[in-house]
Amino acid sequence: MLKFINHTLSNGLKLIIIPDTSTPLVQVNVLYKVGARNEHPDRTGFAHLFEHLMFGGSANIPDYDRPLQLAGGENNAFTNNDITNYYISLPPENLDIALWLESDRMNELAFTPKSLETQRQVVIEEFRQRNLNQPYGDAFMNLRDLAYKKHPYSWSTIGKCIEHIKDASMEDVKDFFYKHYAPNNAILSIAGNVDPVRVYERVKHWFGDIPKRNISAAIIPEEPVQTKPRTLTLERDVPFSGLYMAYHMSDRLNPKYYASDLISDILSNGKSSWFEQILIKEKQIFSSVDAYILGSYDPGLFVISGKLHKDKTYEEAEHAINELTSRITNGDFSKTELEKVKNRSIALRQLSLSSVENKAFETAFFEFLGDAGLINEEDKKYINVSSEDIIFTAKEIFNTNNCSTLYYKSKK
Amino acid sequence: MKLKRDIMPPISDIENINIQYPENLQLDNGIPVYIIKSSAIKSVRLDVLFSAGQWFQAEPFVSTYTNLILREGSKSYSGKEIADKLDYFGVFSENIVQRNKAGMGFFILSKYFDKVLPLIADILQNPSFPLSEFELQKKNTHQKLLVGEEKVAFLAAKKYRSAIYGNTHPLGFEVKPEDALKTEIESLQKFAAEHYTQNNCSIILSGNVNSEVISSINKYFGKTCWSKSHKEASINTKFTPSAEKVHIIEKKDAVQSAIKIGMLVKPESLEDINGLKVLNTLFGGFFGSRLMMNLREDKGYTYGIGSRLSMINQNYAEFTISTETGTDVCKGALHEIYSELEKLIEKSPTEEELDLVKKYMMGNMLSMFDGPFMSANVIRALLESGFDYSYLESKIEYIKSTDINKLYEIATKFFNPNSLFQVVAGKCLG
Repeated sequence: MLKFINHTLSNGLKLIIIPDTSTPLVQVNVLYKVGARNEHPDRTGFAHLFEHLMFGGSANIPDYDRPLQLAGGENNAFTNNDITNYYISLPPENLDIALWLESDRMNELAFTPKSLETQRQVVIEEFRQRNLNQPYGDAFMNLRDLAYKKHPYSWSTIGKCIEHIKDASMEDVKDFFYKHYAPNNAILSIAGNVDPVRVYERVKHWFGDIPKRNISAAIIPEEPVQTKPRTLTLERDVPFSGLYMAYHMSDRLNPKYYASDLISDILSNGKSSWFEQILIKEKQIFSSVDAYILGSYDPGLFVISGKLHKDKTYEEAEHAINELTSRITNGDFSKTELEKVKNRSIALRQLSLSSVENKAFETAFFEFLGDAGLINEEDKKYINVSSEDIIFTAKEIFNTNNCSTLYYKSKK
Repeated sequence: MKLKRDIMPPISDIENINIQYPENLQLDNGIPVYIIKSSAIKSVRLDVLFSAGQWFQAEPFVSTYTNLILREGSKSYSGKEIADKLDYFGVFSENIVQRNKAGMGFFILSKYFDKVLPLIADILQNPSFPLSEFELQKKNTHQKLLVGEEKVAFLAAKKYRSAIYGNTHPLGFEVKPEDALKTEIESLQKFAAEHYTQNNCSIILSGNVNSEVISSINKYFGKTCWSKSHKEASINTKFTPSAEKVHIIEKKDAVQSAIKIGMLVKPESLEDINGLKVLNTLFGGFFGSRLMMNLREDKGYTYGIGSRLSMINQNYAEFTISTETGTDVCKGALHEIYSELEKLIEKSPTEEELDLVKKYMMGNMLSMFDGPFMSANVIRALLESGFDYSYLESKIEYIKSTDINKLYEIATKFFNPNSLFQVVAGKCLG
């Protein structure tokens, strides 16, 4: 059980403190409830570009990184479709430096034209490095676009295209900041070798006077139910054909999420999984194949993707996958198999929560979902999933009318 | 009173690093065991390492293939049984193949430790080398390499290794994808017999390590009946770098080029090594480094650039600069990298710059001992490079006491731009 203390400041900032004496460091995690999900369809990639600009100096501190390095600290950040998350690790004696830096940029950014100009270029290079200059690098962007017709999950965090990033103006930047960056839209989580009373006092000192802002109530279009199969074929200069299948599934808070996660584990988690034993070893259809879920705030995707051996056809590949997903819907799996994936899931959480970095992030993430305390319910929720839950959820997911398939064909 | 946000709060300097030293002991057969205990954790990490890394292989792929086939079958268990059992008990395993050490790491819930240990011992000590699994392993490696050939970073790294170590050196073999299919299973059997042996073995235990855990380890790894090689494993330090310093690999349709620039360095003392480490950090070893500030934060040429200084053993270091940049700014990026190298040997860093690097490095040293598993990583890194804890102690002292003149001396002694190898994969336009 993870023990923590929480507070809410009068400006709405949520604070979570996790005392942990096993580390010589303190982890400061700031989660903002904004991601690619909150973007306008003509201004995609903006939440992520904005994450870069958060390092370009704030109203009173021209250089974010330098003071932190002087304090012996490290920091980084990431953006996904739901959230933007910033984190710092530093010696506990210098906690004030982290709070000073984070509170000033929550209060107001410097909005310097040079930072916008450079970071636009940096993000364009990131787009090229991850998506355009990699074999199969654009597959997932295309899969999202096929699976979501109305919901903003139809685009990746990096954005739909480079042009959206090129076009970002200073006005857009300011607008985005005041719409989404505010104490009442943030969660501050602090884990490490600290005294919780003192941490609360220092947080009030640095964050207490930041004004509450009007957070635009996100009107996020709901994704209509998919009623027939969707397919897309792309031809690319890659050595092997790829197969990508995306099924709609529940959101992260739905109880069906846990069954979905265990289904993906039976199929492909670990060397003993069905995909590894049957599709890779026995039938040798794929050189690699995976099943995984996107545990997103709004209803997510259950994804199956793999690379085919040269002598295998898409027909054989799909048939072999469907045989295995039907085994789940037919209840053709053993008690031991279900126990196995539950054991693995519990061990994985224990491994993950052995670091303060993850303790701070995970509690902030559950608070984002609604309640930090949910972190202590996870094991139980996995243990309680029954065979019937698995069958019921699998039947909902593995329906051809619910599937979007991308054929990523090798031209070679 | 209004909060003064424009004044930086006082910083306390890190004066001391609390190095977490392991407890050392020997199993009955002499295998050294390094132990980092923490009762706050309900699991044990077990790393079993052998002198079986890439440096010891006579032909390409053998070190990696041997490592990967261990879990595909042993004397008492089939590959399927191994997979089922490890997965059932929630064990996460890691294949480790480095330059010097190779082996496996296991993360095990304490309550299942005794249930899985006999199996782990059997796969490491009595591999059965099933042929069908090996054929599949070769086929899938071949596919991976064909996909790799489409990546500029992969192409550049391969050419770079062969340039600095030589195409016939175990660390520099320049392989084609189809070479992955040529290895014979006998090479693996021979390699395992010579290298996965008790006299080449070290064990690291971290986490919830109690006396029962230790006696179980002694029971399953401490016996004398498992294989022992006759000779000490030796390595080839005759590097045969390429005569050409500059290599270009054209890749049509590339929108970015991968750049690798670097060389092998032979430091003569701990003082040299520590100086090189500090200099490398300042040059390209962290976000605030010269390379990052210039090429990313000022010019926007790249998403990231960095340099590394890794001791490949006690005598040699590999110094490497790596980045990926737009093909349209590749020439500009190369120009900036060389001008930064020139600056390094033209004049000493400023006091202010060195002060920042020192403080950053001390923070970094502190984070190396963030919990038992991080401390286990430190042991693993020391075993890999062949150093002991006195090296870390000397590094901490050096960081605290060095000055700009000492560093300038190191820079002029080692950073001769004419000795550098340069590889660009992609296209080099503007």
